Amino acid sequence: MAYEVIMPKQGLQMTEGTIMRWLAHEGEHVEEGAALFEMETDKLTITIDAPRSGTLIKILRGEGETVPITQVIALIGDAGEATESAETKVANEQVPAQRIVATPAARALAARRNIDLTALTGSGPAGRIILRDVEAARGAPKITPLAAAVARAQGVDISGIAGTGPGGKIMKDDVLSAKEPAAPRDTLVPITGMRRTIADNMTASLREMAQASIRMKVDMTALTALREEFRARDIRLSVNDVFVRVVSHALREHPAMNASLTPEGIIQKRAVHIGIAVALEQGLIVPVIRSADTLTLPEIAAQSSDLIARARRGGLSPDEYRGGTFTITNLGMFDVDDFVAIINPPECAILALGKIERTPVVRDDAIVIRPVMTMTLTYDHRIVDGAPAARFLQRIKELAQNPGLLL
Amino acid sequence: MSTKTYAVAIRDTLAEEMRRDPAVFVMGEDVAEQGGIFGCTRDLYREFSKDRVRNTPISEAALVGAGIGAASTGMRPVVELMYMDFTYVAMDQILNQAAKIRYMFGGRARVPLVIRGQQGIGRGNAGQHSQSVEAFFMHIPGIKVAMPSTPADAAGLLRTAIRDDNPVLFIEHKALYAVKGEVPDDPEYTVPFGSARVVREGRDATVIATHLYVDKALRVANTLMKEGISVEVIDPRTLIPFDEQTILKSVAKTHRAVVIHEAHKNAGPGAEIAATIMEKAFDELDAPVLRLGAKACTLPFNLGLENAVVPQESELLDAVRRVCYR
Repeated sequence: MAYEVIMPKQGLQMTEGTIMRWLAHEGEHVEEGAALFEMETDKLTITIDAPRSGTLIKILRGEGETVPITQVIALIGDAGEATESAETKVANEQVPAQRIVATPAARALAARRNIDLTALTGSGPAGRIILRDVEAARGAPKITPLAAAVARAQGVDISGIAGTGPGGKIMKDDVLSAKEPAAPRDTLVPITGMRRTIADNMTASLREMAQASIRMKVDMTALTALREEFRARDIRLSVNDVFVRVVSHALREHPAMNASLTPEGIIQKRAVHIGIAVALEQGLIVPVIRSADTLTLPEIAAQSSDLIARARRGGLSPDEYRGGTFTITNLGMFDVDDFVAIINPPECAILALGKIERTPVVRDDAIVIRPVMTMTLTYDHRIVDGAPAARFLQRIKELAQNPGLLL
Repeated sequence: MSTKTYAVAIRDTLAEEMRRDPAVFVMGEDVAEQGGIFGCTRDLYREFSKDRVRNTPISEAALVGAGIGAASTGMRPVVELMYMDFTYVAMDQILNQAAKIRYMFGGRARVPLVIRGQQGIGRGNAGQHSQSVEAFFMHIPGIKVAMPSTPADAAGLLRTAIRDDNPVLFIEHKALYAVKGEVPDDPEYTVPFGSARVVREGRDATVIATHLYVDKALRVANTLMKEGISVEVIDPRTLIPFDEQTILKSVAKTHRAVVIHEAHKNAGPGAEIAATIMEKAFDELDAPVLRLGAKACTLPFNLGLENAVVPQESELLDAVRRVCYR
């Protein structure tokens, strides 16, 4: 009996995965633990190893196919082993799409008007979708006799025209302007798992939260000096690294900012897990530095550089980008002065860092040049109000300008 | 225009064509003094002599064969068969000879032959004298099939048939002979083959009907009008050649079609027409094309039973309602 390779569950929330590339061909020998295929989940692309050694008898699900977890995708066995029963099983597991019974005329009209037949209820015998069902789905367009004649004469399809006449009636000019050559075609980029996740999360965030933002400038002189000191000792600290330290320290003092709103109430989290937004070619991922408030700066630097490097390679495990309690995002490297970020749900706030710019500032009644950065805190006004959020940001500024306080 | 019966329209057209062209002549069983059993050649022998209105022995094979010989040597014979059922006696002559000669002689021989006669129910003539034969002749290439349903079409189509250089099976209906109608007096009045007649315009369903069913379809259309169903009635007039365009245009408008004829439904003309609609207007169809034809039963002698075998107006009413989902 051939061994059934299934779509593996990677992380708690995974329900399906897309097979990106098979790394072995049918008939080839595969070794347990050696890479078998690449797959994409809603979050990342990972390589899955062969679960046992043997001949890859049959690949049942091809590249590009999205398969629910635990469904059989390939068979490993001894060369020449029969595969029929397993294949039949796979075929049986696939739920056949409901056949739509519709007359040819109904189908043709639905195609012309871009109407989804699956959304219609047929009024013909045994639920057959007939012409009038499609016509009713979007009533025949209202059009003036002249416009209809012009459309016929010029061969213009009126189904897509938005009428400008009374009650949306299609007028002659609507038909004529619809005849103008179409604009250059747009590019359609398919929404992959990660893009879809980002789209859903960001929409949900803005839909569900009452997001407000406040902005504050911070003098980076002391932190810049601190980073220089570490660099002199061969420890490279990024601006993000020091802010992970600063923010996690501030969060311990301001637990209201380290919170999530649930139906039961506001959960103020004991643990401080700081997410760092990392831009990837195909999207964005937020690896999490766990218990950041217990880590030293060199520890934070080591963890973050490892996480960021693996994030860029697609080598993060799902548990490494979940469970954050606060996120820091930084677009300073793109010359962004300051920006308002969208909160990463279910967190309560996000800190957006701009670029560090040498700026003339007034110190002791004299104009001096200082490295200055603008921080923007977006917070969920359902959970915290402006004053506590401002006090929190103020504390971050204080710590950043006086890093000795972190000791 | 003159008002005349279907039978008189045929006789007058024969006379006019015989006057116009000395190559046109008539032969058949009792066509001279008796004028044919339905009077379609009445008194022709008086004007044209028995040389051009020739009685023949009772042998349809010989009769059609003689017609083929005359036609291929330059005459334009009009052969009358008493009953279209008797084409079966002459099948080899019609389908193996008349239909194929022009092709098999590379176009160097022509057979301008008209075989005319009546078919159908209405007189209780029983199984061997009441059949509808058109489907047999639609199947074999080389012969045209005309089926006039009115006196005017009988005149116009017969004139076209006589002037055609190919064999034509000209199918009349015994129950139509007494039907009166307006016929153009113009001795050049022709109805081209392959031109269907839209008898009545409608929006919701197309009924394609031949012979007696053209009138029945009109009555059904009137009834359905009161139910808010607007029926278009089309008479193809010739089955070979067949006017696809008129029928397809109609179906593109109505999206529904019913074909009705007296011939048997099984492998009848309706099957060919329905299949043509399906092939060429599939995306226009909002309901299956329905066919109504005689049941798979020999036509009975008893008039009541005879009537029960062929489609009724009530069945056509139901069929049109059905395709309109009413």
